Amino acid sequence: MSTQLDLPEHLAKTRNGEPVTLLEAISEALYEEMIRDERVFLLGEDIGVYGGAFKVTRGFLERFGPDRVIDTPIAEGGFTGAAAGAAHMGLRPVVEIQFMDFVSPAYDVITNYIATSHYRGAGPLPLVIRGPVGGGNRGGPFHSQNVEMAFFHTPGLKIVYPSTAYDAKGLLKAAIRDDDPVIFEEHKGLYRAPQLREVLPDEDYVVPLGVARTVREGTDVTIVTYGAMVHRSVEAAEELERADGVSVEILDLRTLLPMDDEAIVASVKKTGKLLVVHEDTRTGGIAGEIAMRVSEAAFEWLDGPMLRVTAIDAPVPYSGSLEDYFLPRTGDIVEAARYLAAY
Amino acid sequence: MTRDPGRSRRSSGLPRSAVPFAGPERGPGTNGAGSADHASGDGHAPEAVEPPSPRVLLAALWTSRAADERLAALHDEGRLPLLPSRPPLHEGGVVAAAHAIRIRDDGSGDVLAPTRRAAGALLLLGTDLETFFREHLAERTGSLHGPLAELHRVDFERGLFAPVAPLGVAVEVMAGITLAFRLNGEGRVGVVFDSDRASSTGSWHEGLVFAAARRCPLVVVVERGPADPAFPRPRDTRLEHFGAKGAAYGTPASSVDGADVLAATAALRAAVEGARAGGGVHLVEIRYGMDEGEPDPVVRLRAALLEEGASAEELDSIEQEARRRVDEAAERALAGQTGTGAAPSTARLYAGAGAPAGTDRWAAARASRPTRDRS
Repeated sequence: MSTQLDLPEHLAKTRNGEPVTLLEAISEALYEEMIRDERVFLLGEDIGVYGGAFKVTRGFLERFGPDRVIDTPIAEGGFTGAAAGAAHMGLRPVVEIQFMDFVSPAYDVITNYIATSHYRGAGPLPLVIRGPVGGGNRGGPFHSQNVEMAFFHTPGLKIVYPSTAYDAKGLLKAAIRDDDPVIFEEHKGLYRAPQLREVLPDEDYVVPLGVARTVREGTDVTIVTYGAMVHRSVEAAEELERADGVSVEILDLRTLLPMDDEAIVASVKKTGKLLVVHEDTRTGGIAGEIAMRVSEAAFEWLDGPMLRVTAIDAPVPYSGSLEDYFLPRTGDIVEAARYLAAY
Repeated sequence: MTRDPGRSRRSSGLPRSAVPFAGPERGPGTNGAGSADHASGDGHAPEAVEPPSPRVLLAALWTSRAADERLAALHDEGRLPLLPSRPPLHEGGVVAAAHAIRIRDDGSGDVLAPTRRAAGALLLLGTDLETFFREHLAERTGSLHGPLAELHRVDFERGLFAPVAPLGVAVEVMAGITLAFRLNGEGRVGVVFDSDRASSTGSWHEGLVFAAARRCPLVVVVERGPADPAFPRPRDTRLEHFGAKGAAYGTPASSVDGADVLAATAALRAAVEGARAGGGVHLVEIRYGMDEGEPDPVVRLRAALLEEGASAEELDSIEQEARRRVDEAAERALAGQTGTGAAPSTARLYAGAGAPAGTDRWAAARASRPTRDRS
């Protein structure tokens, strides 16, 4: 698609056949969608003149103007609610929460209003709420949280959490084109990770919501994960194969809600062992829900306990050494998967 | 920017041919009588809605009140599952607002966001009386299959935004609805009602901050009544008038006695046209029972009309006609009632094909327990 577009140089890497980071993939998705559909517009704090805290929208104001790249007051509830109103009137807003930790002031309007809107008879509500999440950047408790489980329990929302540049671009396009409200989480540790740079297809592609991706095929243990933990799980799987000869299958959920039960169950039936890995904290984490679904659908196929590797139940620490201890480590995954494989 | 024509023209399931009681001015192509009001999608503000005659306002007040009284009677008879808890004598605000805005039934008019105080909103925006009662009775053919429909019903075609229980959220969402009006150059206006106490919420504040900063064509109405002795409340503000809050947002503001429906209509018409002309957010405080003089808007308007030379017989006939139509509609709705409620459903949870995978997992697991072939 981008070959036909008038793109600023920093957003023309895909057109030029150059690799892009996950952040650049997100910028490309937004830019291309705004060209493709003039109903798409952006709201957020400092996304216009400043280009956003992470520069996702750098150059957008110049191309699309202040009516489509709206610098908002610091009032997450206000501008998220306003986005819902604009969606009612046929526009397709994309809200940037500067750090997803700050989505909490909008929790009321998201859960009480936006998520219930279609059910209450107000019609589809095409709205994307996106922003950076995740730890490992020494951001402390206010700039490092994963927010998926704050919304996972609310019927009416969809939740997306990509782990690669390809998926980020395709999933964001799919989210913008979807008629339901979508929470879109972007791990800031992956934004500019050099190892994630990849050359994307120079075409208008989408990655469908609700479909998991098999990252790695295996026969002994299934790891279900998403976001930054996909890459840590791959490291663990490689070590297990090298050191133990254990074959690990990894499933990247990509979309948490709706969840791809079919893919999870199929993998568990193949390996008989399930390990869920998530960066979010342990209690009330998504691992509990996944384990319950597997118990309901594939209990007979299990050959061991369902286990989880997660962050510990604490606020994200400021201290670097404590944060490293707090977050799931590759060694933790290796240990849990090794235990399962031998069970 | 353009809007998706299909998006804002959803059907509520209510009859489009409904003819309302004598009510606000309606434009050509709508469901009522014609007026000087013109649709505009070209960015030019249309002419203002013609001022309503006092007799039209009186008919609207009587119809709203008669409908409220009939609902209360149905509740006393055990035929209405829930009774809308509306403070008495509060019809003035919504009657005034409905006569200040452009009303259409094709999704091109202004949008009104009432509160639970505003029973008349459904009627004033074009719902016929029988449908109004069916909605309240939770009749199966009601659009939501549940009681108190005016608390939950959305009908953007007619410009009705359903009240939202979390206070202040309606201001946030209406800020975006009117942002879309401005971005699309439609010359449309939104009017959102909330209570005085709602103006203490962060949502109310954030919605107003956003709307004021973006100069959205939005009128924010604060309805204020004296404290109900049954619900002693702490003092919400040091301000004498809530309209003074407008200064904090840089918006024009006014304050008016809701019992004087002529004054309330004039204040709202000025605010609506100011917003339509590009003046951004306007704040209007409507006070109930806090001023000297007659607190009942019906009694007050009737007295004013009598003073102008109207005959008591003529004004009585307006009341009688309103009550007759309300009673007949209520009887028709009761006669057609076939039951209450509907089967639980997740069908409208998501757009498109319905509930996503996983929603029915538990039922599926119970229905057919999967068994592994261990051979």
